[in-house]
Amino acid sequence: MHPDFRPVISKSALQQYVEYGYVHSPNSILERVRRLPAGHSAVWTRTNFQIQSFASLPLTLHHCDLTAGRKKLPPRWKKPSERRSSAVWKATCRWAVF
Amino acid sequence: MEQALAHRGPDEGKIWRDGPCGLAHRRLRIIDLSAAAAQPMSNEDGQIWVVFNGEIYNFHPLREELCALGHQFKSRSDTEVLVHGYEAWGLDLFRRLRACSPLRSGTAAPRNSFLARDKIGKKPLFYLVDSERFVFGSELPVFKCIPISGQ
Repeated sequence: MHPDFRPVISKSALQQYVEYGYVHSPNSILERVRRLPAGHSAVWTRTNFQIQSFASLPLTLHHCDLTAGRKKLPPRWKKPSERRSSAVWKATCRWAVF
Repeated sequence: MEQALAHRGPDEGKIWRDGPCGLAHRRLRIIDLSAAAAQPMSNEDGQIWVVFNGEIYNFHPLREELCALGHQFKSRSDTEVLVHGYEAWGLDLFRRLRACSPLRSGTAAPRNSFLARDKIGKKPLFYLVDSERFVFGSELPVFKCIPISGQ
């Protein structure tokens, strides 16, 4: 260990750790030490440090084609205006209550 | 610093230094068990150096593509694809990889350095940047080996 290693616990990271049991990127439990987020690259030169994303997971609504799945869903998941008959609607309500 | 990571790579340990820059690596041999695949690894003329933790699943097709472009491979390891891939494609290389891999590379000639972490964040990658230095490692204990304060 380096004699001048004097670690300081990051308060915001500690708060995350207590709340979630985990410290999320880009924080780390040590103050000043950072964690590179997933799918990111960082370029360092003497005068500049820059982080950019090169990949992301399709987790947002923007990326998902929700209309493709909606057509295949059973009637009970449709909007009321799209339901075929009131019988199905009543059955659905009964199903939903129980 | 290399010793701080010794538990992660029991097979081999190497350090590369050039002036103020250095890379340290501990190796757990999985692909290409020979010493030719040891890290830090460089390209043909020693201008680009890499340390890498992880595995590149699609390195065979990338290797063939790079061989076709005229790159000379010294080993059969997946790591070598990174140095030659960086020469050929620059940072676009990362879009082509299917890997679980944080990697760090120093390029000696223009004195710059870059890090990258895999798409889903399977492996950790920590770093510290201030006005004088750029330090990185795959685990927090690496930072025990440098002077650091909270200020």
